[in-house]
Amino acid sequence: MYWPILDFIRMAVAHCMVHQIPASSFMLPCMSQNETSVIPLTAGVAASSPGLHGQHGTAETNSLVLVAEESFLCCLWSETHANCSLYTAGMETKKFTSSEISSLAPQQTDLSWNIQCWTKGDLELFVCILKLSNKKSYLNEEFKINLLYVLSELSLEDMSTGSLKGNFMVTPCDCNGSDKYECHIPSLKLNYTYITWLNIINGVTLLQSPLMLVRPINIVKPEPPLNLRLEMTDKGQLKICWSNPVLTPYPLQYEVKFSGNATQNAWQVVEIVIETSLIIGNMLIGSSYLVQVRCKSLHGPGFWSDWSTPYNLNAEDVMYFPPKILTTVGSNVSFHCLYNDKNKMILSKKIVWWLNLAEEIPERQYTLVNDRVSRVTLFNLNATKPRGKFFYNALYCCNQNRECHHRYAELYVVDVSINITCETDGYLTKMTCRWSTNTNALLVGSSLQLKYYRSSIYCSDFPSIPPKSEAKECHLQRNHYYECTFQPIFLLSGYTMWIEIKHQLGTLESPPTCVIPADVVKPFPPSNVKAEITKNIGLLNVIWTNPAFPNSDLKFQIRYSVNREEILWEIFEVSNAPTRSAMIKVLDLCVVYIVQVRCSGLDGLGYWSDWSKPAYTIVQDIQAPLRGPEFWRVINEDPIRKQKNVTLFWKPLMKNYSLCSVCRYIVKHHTSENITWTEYVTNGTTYTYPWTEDAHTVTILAVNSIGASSMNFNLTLSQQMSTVNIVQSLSAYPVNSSCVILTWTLSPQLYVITSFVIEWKNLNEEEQMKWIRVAPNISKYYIYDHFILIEKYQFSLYPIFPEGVGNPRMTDGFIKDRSEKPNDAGLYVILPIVISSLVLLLGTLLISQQRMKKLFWEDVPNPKNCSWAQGVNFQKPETFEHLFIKHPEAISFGPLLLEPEIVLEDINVAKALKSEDKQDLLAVDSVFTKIQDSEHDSACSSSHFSNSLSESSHDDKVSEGITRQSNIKYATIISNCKSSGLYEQQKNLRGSFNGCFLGEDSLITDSFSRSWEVGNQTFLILPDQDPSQASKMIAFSVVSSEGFSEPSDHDDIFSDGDSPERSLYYSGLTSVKKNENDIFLTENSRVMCHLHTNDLFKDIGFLQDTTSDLNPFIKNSLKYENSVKTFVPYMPQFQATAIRLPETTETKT
Amino acid sequence: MRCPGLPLCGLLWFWLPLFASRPVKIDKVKADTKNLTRTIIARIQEEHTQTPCSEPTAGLDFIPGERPLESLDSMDETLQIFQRILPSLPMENVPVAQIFNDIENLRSLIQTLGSHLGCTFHKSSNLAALGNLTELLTLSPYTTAVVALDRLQTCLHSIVKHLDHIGSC
Repeated sequence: MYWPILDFIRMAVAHCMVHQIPASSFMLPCMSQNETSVIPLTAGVAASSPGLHGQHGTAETNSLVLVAEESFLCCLWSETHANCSLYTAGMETKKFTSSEISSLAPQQTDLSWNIQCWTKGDLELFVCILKLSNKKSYLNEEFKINLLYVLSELSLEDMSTGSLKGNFMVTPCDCNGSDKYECHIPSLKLNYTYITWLNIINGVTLLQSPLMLVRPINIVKPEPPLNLRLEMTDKGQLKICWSNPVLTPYPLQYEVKFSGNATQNAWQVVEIVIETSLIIGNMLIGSSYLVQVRCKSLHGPGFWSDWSTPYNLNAEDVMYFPPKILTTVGSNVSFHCLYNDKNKMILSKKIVWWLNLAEEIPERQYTLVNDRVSRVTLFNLNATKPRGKFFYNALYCCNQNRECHHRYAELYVVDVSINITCETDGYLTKMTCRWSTNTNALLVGSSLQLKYYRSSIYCSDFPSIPPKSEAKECHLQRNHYYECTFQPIFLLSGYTMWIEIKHQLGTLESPPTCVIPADVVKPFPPSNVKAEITKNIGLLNVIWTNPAFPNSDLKFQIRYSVNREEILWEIFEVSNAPTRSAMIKVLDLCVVYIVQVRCSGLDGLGYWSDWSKPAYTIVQDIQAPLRGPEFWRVINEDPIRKQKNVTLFWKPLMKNYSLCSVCRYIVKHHTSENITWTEYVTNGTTYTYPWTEDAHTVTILAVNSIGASSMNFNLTLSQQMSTVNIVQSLSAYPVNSSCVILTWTLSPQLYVITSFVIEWKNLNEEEQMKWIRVAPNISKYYIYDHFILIEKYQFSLYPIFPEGVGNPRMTDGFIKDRSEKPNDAGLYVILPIVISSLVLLLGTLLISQQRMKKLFWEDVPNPKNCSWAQGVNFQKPETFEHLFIKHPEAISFGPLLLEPEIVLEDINVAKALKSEDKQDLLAVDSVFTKIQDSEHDSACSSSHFSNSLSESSHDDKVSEGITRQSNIKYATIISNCKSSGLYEQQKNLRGSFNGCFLGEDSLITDSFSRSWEVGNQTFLILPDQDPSQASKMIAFSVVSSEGFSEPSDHDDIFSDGDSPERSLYYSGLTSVKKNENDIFLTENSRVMCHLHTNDLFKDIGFLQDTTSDLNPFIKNSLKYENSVKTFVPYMPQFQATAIRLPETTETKT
Repeated sequence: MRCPGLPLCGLLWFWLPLFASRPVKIDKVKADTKNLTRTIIARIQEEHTQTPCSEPTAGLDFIPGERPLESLDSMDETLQIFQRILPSLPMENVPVAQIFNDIENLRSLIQTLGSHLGCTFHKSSNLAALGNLTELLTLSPYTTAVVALDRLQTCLHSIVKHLDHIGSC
């Protein structure tokens, strides 16, 4: 049914009988044919089918109905011409004429329509508005209008019959008011040509317009411009800016109009521009001007859009340009400011900028754009830290006097560093990219989208965001990552990707990154992985099949582990491509290994594949056993048969020796009669044979599927050697319930021992005897077993000779002492030292005693040679009294018993005392001196001591000296003193003794004494003691005549940090013989000796015993002591000696 | 005291990095070309393992592959033809779209190699002859697909072989 119509249209098109719809309104007058003077009409008029009447929407016309014989002629009315056509029902042109406009007078028309058609700004809808402008009264009020159209891809010039597509469409027009009709063509195709015409039905009368032609793109009426705003140029000029409507199929031109007063309707078009902004200068600022903009196609026909929403130019007090900035971290931004304070413009040079009302921006960041506009630039911005609900930094433009207006500019700085990682699958067909964002760092209302641009091959060195890009849809995953997939991919193309963050304040872009899919391949893991331990070589051999992709060279990682519960992987790298196998050296050959392989590109790009499926090795024999089993024997004698049966038993061969199994054992026999035979033991680990010959050697071999062991143990049983006894002792020390130490000693012997065999068993339980073979060069062995220490065990040690097994040494039970500190290795070091020290000390004491005997009788000092003894008449008791008089000053120190004091007892025994030479002075001088001042020391500090007992020239001071610091007791036994150099020290004690003794370091005293012996002089130094203990402890010190020193006080002693053994007590008694058996007991000797009071007293007693000749002198002195009252206060300090000495002397006398 | 050799030295110094880096890049392009060619072959072989024993040629002359490819220009031209053929092939098991992209990359690589050697590339002259492709695919789609993929493999092998000793266009 359509073909006639289409044919007609084609014919009409061919004859240029189609009229183009202009981008403006036009007239459609219609008149009855009777009134048509020019065109005689004979044919009928076509009408739409009844079914279409009153129907909205678009429908195909199935038939045309002849509704009336007479018809109206409609013409297209333009300013100059009126083109009219008349069609029959068959759409045949009955008449076509073109006449001057004057030929059709308005009064001749019965009906006249004002029509305007355009394409809406959304580019989806074609709209025609028909407005009835003139109508004869005989016509009805009701019209039914249909718009019929048909599509063509080509323009009118190129149109041919073939270009008309399909059927023509009908869309009814809606009545919009009494005389206004609106017709729509939806789903427009902008660049197609639409041939259309109108059917207007009034009752039974059909009016039909001529054919009209339109390309929707030519009659677009755009949407009005959006987002009018004021901006400022870099030069400080204001400009009104706007945005294009969303859909602009072509470049636009704009018309801007201003209104001086909003209440008046006096618009004035200022200018038509082709940019989206217009500089207006600063003159209009502060006025009440309204601005509106509209747009239309820059080139070609089209409608002007409607005017935009008015924008009021009324200025604020402070204007920021821009008022808000959204930018990225690290960028630089600039703000402009116009400050109008109370209608008075602030000069730009008086403007200062503040950030967040807290920080004044340095002036160097200001720019005076002009005298009214100030600009501030912020560099290298940091991300804005949200402060409560404020996600921006507030920037204030203030007066120089720091008066700021409450208005501020907003600066949003967003961190857009989003990392995009991509991974290409093993098939090299899909690339998945992932990225995530810190949602807290993004502004609310932001939308993110991945954008990318693909270059033909490779990436540029410095990827940048190109002007053209594509968006990629990404999906948020559960792990808060967005995931986008490219499939198929261009393997070697460079995909430059970035994230576009859209916000109402603007659009930000993350730094672009470029990815080549071939560089981020995660290949499939190798397949068909097989692993085995190679025979004979004993390496872990792994073979696999490479994945089909990629075809470039690969490197591999093999991880392997013994297959057990806790898998400890070891990694083996294989990079010698191309390869599909690897040999790995492993320690344990007889275990199941689990092996996995993974691969990666050899060039290091891309990712490692997942690990392959695990492969397991099979335990099998690798080699013949490395050696035969260790074995031992038990000999059972059959007294009846007088035969010895030997039972061999051995430990199952471990896998590291059997490699990896043992199928049977071979026992080789060799007798002393040179007879050899072999036996096979398939099951079990024991074997019994009769021992008949004198010597019988057996060797046991282990056999597996590969062969027999080459290194084997043998054992010779010999009647002769069984009597050889070389183990001298054997001891067992229990360490704990799981360890026992067995030690033994060997007697000198001529035999070569190849090994030992240790047997042990619990005698209380009938458990099997256990044994172990140990090396021949040891004498101690830790046996690890479960021992019950309260049980009785028997340990036997068999020496094994090449000639046979020797006689064993046995021991029952443990040695308990050893069990206390069996592991204390230091014991073996300390004990000898302690013992040797004690021996040395004892020896020293003994020798000293012997020497002292001689000293007492040989080395009585000559008073003539000793300063302190000068003038002392030792024969007169007064002298001694004088010596023992305590200085009166000492009394002022309070209770004597509480005084920590030193009493120096100087006993000088002349050698002549022992001899019979009565002319020489025989004296034992006990000098009890209290030293008040450390500078007053009665000790003989000269390097030479006199042979005679002498008194210091400063005796008074010495005797008066009482001190709390220098609490030293000493006794001096002097002999062969050649000089009389005893003098009193005028300086401090230490300094004075430095000159007296060889070295002060050699003297360390505490509450005990130490001895020195240099040369043949001997001193006894008695240190001070606590008052409470003063009488209980005396230490002797034998001091050299070469000199000695002693500390001035306790502080000096204790401050001597170089003497860690200050708490140790040293004592030394040495020989007085020159250059003979000199024994030095100094601090360096570190010999420790605890001298208890009793011991000391014993020593004293010993001395007294051995020096019986001294007794009279002592007796005399004691007698004198008793007779002098001034001596009494000192007695408690020498309580012990005061008690014992007289007793001793009395008994001796 | 002017040094006349200084500008020349500076010029040479300026060009030195270019000469130094060029072989590296071309080597990479060559290696990538080989790898990509092998990858395409593997894609075809993985899903389309059948190789026709007796290949019918009547009416399929427009599908290249019977003659060895000995120049970069002929490689590019041949690949261009296959790019026209591939989208029409009714082979669901072969990743035709991916192979199409791979060929696109391969052409780019070959053109990069060619530009390095100073070659000029021509637009395929046989494209007009693809007119009966639609008809062939309608009449005997399987034959057309098998022959096209087989000949593509042949061409790719020829490219790999030729790349080993490429020295001119």
